[in-house]
Amino acid sequence: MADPLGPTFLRWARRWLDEASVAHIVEPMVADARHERATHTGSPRLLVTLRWRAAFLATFALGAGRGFARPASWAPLRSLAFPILLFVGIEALLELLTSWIGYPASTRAAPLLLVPGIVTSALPLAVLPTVMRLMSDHRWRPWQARTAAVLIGACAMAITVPMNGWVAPAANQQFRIHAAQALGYPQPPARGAHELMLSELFAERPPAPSIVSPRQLQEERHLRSSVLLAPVSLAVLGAALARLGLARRVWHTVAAWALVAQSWTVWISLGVWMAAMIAPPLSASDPYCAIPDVGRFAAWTPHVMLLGTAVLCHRVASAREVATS
Amino acid sequence: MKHTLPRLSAKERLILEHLADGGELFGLQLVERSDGGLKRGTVYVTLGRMQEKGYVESRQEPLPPGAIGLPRRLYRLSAYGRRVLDAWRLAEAALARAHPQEA
Repeated sequence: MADPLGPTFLRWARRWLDEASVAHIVEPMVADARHERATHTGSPRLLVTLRWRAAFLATFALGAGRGFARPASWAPLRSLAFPILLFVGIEALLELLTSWIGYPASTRAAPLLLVPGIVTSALPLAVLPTVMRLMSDHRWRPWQARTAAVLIGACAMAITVPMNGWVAPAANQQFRIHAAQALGYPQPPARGAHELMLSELFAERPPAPSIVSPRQLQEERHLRSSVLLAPVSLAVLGAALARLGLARRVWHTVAAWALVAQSWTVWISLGVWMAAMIAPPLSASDPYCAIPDVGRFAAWTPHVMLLGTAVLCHRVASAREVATS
Repeated sequence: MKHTLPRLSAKERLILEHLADGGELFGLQLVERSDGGLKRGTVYVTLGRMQEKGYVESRQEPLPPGAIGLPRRLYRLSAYGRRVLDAWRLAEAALARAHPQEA
């Protein structure tokens, strides 16, 4: 006897869709497909099978866009749009405001900074409330929420890498050129650390023409690559706080951001202090000269500590779940 | 109270016409009777949406004793669906009378 048609489609639907969509769309379709293949007399059996396989794909594509828009498990996606849009709006305002304060004569070039600015800072920050909201929404099954949280963190990182590594530096330099022209400088400005591409940061010497010292190059390298970890560490932290029940109120979100902000401030200072303790400066005029890895401490410590906090929260939540069960 | 004519896509209209003529039908039968007007890949999603709107009703085909497998689903026109179809037919007839050259 031939294999029944559509087991994968059925399995996918039962895993991801609500009961109504499975009962009223997917199961009747698969049942008709199996019936036609079992009773066909005209066209070859292979043709019937292929025709139905194409139909499963078409239903999947059509349903993902329209027909399956009702499943209970997908509905929370709409609620996730709010924190993301809020951050994009705030970030756009901040970028416009800061560029206007910095270079009032060149505000027409400010949109150059908008998109990379929004993506590199607002997107990782929006991951935190998004994951908190997602994980505390009971319409998602636990494994669905976990999968979605991982995907959100991974997607945010995948977008942040090219933006942070190449698009933002290029936009920064274009903005500086516009600003220099507007302010009447004859020469276009040389590139600073923020205007170097991610690949250039890993060179032994700063690329010419630039005004970056080897130490700045090293610090920027650590800073830029550590920021790429931010979406993941914030997603893990958001999930941990939600498991502890600390993601149900607006103030929970505000408190989580405060935790992140203070972590970055405290741990950066602590990282620099620790580096200084490990390798005391040789010269009072340049405390960095004897501690070439100070940038590494300052850049990576807050992320590592945030991840550590998140892992700790997950352990506490797991212990609490075991105790209550 | 303001009443508007319920929205009806071309595919939904075709399904209602076939169910009005044929009584209770399977999704596959609708595809076969439409002569290419309905496709296997779209008819079930459309039927699901029409069921939510209340245009059609459905029931599972009873399986013979001892049979295993997925039961097929039979669709029929609901009373509301029949009224919607009648309303659309009336509206089209009225439009055809007003502009006979476009009918």
